[in-house]
Amino acid sequence: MAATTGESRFRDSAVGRVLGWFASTLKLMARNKVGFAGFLVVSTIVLVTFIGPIFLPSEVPVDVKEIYETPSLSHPLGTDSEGKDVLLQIINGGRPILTIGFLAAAISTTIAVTLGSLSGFLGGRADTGFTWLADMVLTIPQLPLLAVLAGILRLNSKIAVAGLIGVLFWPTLMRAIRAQVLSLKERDYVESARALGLGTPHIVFREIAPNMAGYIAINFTLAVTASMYFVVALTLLGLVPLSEDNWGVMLNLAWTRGAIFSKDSIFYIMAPIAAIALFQLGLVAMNRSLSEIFDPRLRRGS
Amino acid sequence: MEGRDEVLSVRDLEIGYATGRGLVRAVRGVSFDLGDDESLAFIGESGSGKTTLGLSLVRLLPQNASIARGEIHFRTASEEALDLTTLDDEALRRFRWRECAMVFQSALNALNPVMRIRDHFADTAKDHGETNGSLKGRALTERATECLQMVQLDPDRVLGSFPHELSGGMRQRVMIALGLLLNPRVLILDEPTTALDVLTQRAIIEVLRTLKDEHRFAMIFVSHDLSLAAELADRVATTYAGRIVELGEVERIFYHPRHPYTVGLLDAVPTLAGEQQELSSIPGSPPDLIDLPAGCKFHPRCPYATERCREEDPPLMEVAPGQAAACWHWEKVGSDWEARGGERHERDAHRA
Amino acid sequence: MEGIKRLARATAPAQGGGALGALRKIASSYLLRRIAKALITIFVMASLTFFLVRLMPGGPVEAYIANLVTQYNLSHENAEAQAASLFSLDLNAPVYQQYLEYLGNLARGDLGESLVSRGVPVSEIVMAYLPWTLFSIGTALIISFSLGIMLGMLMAYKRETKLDHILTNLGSIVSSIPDYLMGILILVWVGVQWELIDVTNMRGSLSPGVQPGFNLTFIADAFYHASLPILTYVLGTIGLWMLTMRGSTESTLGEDYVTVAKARGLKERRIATAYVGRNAALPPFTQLSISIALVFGGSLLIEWIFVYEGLGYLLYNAIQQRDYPVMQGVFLIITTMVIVANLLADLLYSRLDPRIRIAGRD
Repeated sequence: MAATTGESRFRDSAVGRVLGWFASTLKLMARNKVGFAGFLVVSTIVLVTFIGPIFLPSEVPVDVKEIYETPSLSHPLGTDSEGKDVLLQIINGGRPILTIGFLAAAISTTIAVTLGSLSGFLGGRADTGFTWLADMVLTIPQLPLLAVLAGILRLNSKIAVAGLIGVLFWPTLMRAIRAQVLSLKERDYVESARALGLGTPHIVFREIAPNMAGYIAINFTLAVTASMYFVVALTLLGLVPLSEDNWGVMLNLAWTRGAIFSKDSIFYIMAPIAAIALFQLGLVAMNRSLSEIFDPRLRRGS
Repeated sequence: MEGRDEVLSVRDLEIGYATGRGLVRAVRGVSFDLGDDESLAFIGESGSGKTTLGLSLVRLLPQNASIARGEIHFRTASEEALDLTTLDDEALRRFRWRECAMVFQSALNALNPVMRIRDHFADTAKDHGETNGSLKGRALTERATECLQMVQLDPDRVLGSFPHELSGGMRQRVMIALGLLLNPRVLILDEPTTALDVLTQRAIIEVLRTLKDEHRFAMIFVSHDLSLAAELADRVATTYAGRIVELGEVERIFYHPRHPYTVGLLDAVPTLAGEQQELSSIPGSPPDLIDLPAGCKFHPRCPYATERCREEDPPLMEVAPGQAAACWHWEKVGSDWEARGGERHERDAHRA
Repeated sequence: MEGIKRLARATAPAQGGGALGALRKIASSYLLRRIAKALITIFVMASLTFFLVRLMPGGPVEAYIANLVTQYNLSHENAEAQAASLFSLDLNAPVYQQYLEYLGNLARGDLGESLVSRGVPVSEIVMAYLPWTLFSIGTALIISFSLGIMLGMLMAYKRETKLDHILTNLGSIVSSIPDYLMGILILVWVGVQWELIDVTNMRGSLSPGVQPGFNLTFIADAFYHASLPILTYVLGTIGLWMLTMRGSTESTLGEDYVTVAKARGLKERRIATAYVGRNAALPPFTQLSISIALVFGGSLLIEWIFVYEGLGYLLYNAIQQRDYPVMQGVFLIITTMVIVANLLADLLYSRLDPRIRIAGRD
C-alpha cells in the first residue's frame, strides 16, 4: 500500500508531472521517424553546447606548433590558424549563438502570439491596425536593417541583439497565429463560452490558447531557425562585437584570416558550417513532426 | 420512333472498386441498347451504380475501379464500330467528347478558372482537330455561338467571360453547350439538375427538351429524380444495387410499373395536388455493395419478398412488349398497382 | 487604408467630387490601392530612417559632429555645418522642419554626400552599384521560380516515386541551410578544394577593361561574374518553390475542371500546362514577396562573399567605414526596391488570376 501511494504522490508532484510530460512528448515525437531524428539532433547539440563547456577550459589553448592540423586523436576536428583545437571551439562556441537564437525566437513568438491573438479575436479596427503594422514590418528587408542598426548602435549585449532580431521577425508568425485564432473563434465551445458570458480574457486564455499550444510550438521552432539565420549572419559579418568564440566568429575569422582560400583549413571552415546546418536541419525535421502531431485536422473535437 | 439505329450497346457489364474493406461491386451485369435518337434515363438511389455506369461509358473511372467483364459497343458517326473496353489511350481521347460527351453534375468547378469561355471552346476544337477538320477562327465562333444559343445563353455576354463571372446555372448550360460543340452521337448527363435552384432546374429541363426535340442525338440521364425522367426520357431504367431492375418506355414505367422498387420510387414522390397523402418512403437502406445479400438484392426491403426471393436473384424478364422487370412476383406487383388504379392516374396526370 | 476608405465613403457627396472623390476612386481600384500602399510604406521607411539617424542618442550625426570637433578641432558650428551638408540636414532648424527638408531632398533624389568619398553624392554612388544587384537578383529569381515550379510539378506528377522522395528531401535540406553558408560552401568546395572554377577571377561584377554596352562580350562577362551569386540565390530559394508547387499541383490535379478536361478529350500536354500548371503556379507566386525580401536581404552577405559589386557589397563597406549617409541611402534604396518588387509581383498576380481582378479586394 505504501509503495503505491508513494508512487502516485510522486506522479502527482510537480517533478513527476514534468517528467510525465517529457515522457509523453517523447512518445509523441517518436511517431515520426524523421521528426524524432531531428529532435535527437537538436537536443544533442543543445546539451553538448550548453553543458559541455562546463567541463572544458573556457580558453582554448593556443599552440603555434599545430597550425591547421588534420584530424587526429588529440584533435578530432583538427586545429585552426592559431593551433586551437577545432572541436573544443565548436563545443564552446554554440552557446552564445544558440542563446541569442532562442531568446530572439522567444521574443518574436511572444509578440506574435499577443498581437496575433488580439488581432484575431478583437477583429475590427484593432485587427486592421495590427495587420497593417505587420505588413509594414514585413516589407523591411531584415538583414540590411539589422546590419545598419548593428553598425549604428554598437550592440554588445546578447539581449540587445536578441531583442533586435526578435522585433523584426514576428509578422509572419503573427499572421499564422491570427489565422488560427480566427478559425478557432468560430468553434462551438467558444460560442458557448461567450453565451455563458465568460469574459474575453477567459475565452482567450482558457479556451483558445490551449488549442494553440501546438501551433505556437511549431512557430517557435520556425522562429529559432530564422533567428539563427540572422545571428550567424551578423556575427559572420563581424558586426556584433561578441568577444567569445562562437560559430559565427569562427567563420568570420576564417574569412578575415584568409582561411577560406587555403586548402588546409577545410575542417576549420566546415566544422561551424556543419554545426549550424545540422542544427537548422534538425529543427526543420522536428518541425515536420510537430506539424503532424498538432495538425488541426487530427485534433478535431478536442 | 422511326427505325432507329443503335449507337450504343452494353452487354453484361460488371465494374468493381478495390477498397480497403474489399471489392465494391458497383455494377453487376448491366445490359442495354441505346438508339441514336433516344433518351434513356437511369434512375436510382445513390450507390445504385448509375454514376459508375455513366463514367464507364467514357472510361473515366477512378484509379481503383476496373471493368471486370462485359462489352461496350459504340457506333461512331462514321459508322465505325468501337469496343470501348479495349480502346487505347489516344483512341479514347479522340473518342471522348467527339462521339460521346459526359456532362457532370454541378458544373461549379468544371471550367478552368483562368480561361475565358471562348478559350474553352477553342481548346476543345483544337485538340479534336484531326478528326474534325479543325474548327477555327470564324467557323469556331459561329459554332460556339450556335451552341450557346441552343442552351439559351447570350453568346456575346458569355463567350468573353471567365467562369467565376457566371452563375451556377449558366455554367451548367455552358458545359452542355460545350458538349454539343462537336456534335456528339451521345450526350451523357449526370444529375443535370441537382444542386441547382428550382428556377434554374426548369430552365435546364427546357433546354434539354428543346435539344431533344430539335436535334438528332442520343441522351443518357443519370439521376435520382424521377420527375426528370418523366420530362425528358423516352425510356427509363430503374437501377438498384448495381443492376437494372426495370426497363421500359416512360409511360409504361410510370403508369404500369412491375417492380416493387419502381413502385416504391413512384410512391415516394409527393404531388402538389390537394389530396392528403402519407409520404411513403422505401423502408430500410441500400445494401452493402461489398457484402451483398443472397438472392434478390431488394428482398430485405420488399413487401413481396418470399423464400424464392431470398434464394434466387431474378434476371430481367420481359413482362410486356418493350418492358422488362427483375422480379419473381411482377404479376402480383402489376395487379396490385392496377387495383390502386383510379388514384394513380389522377396523381400521374398532375406529375407529367 | 480602411479608415481612409470609410472616411471617403462617409463624407463624399453623392457624386464623389474633388479630393474625396479621388480618394474614393483610389480605394476602389485594386491597382491604385496597391500603389498607394507602396508609397505609404516607402514614406514610413524614409521617416523611420530619418529619425533613426538624426535623433538616436549616440547616433551617427551626433557622433560625426563630436568626432569632427575632437579630431579636427573644428568649432561646433563648423562641425555642424559640415554634418548638415553631408547628411543633407539643416541642424539648426526645429526637428519637424529638418524632417520636411529631408523629405523634400529625398523627393529630389538628394541623399546627401558620402563621408568617405568627400563631395560625392550618395545617389551617384548608389546608381553605380544598383544595376548589378538588380541584374543578379532579377535573373536569379526568374531562374529559381521557373525551375522550382517545373520541378515541383514533376514531383507532384511522380508522387511517391523515388524521384519525388529524392527531390523532396533535397529541396528540404537545401532550403534549411542559410543561403550565405551555401555561398561559402560553393566558394570553398567548388572553388578552392576542387578548383573547378577560378573564383579569384570571378570577383567583381565585371572583368577589368570590359565596357558596358549592348554587346555580347559585356553581357557574357556580366553573366560570368554574376553566376556564383545567382547560383547561391537560386539554391537558397528554389526549395520553397519546389515544395509549394508540389503541394498545389497535387491539389489542382484533384480539381473538377481537370477531370472534365480529360472528359473533353483534351491532349495530356494541354491539360498539364494550361489546366494544371497554370492554376497550380498561382499559390507559389504569392510566395514571391517573401523570396524577394529574403534575396535582397541576403545580398548583403552574398555579394560580400563573392565580392560582387552590388548594393549589398556597398552597404557592407559603408557600415565598416561608418559612412552614415551612404548607409542611410543604400538602406532606403534597398527597401524601396523590395517594396517596388513586391508591388510588381502583386500586380502581375492580379493579371494572372482573373478572379482577383474582378473582386477588387486584396
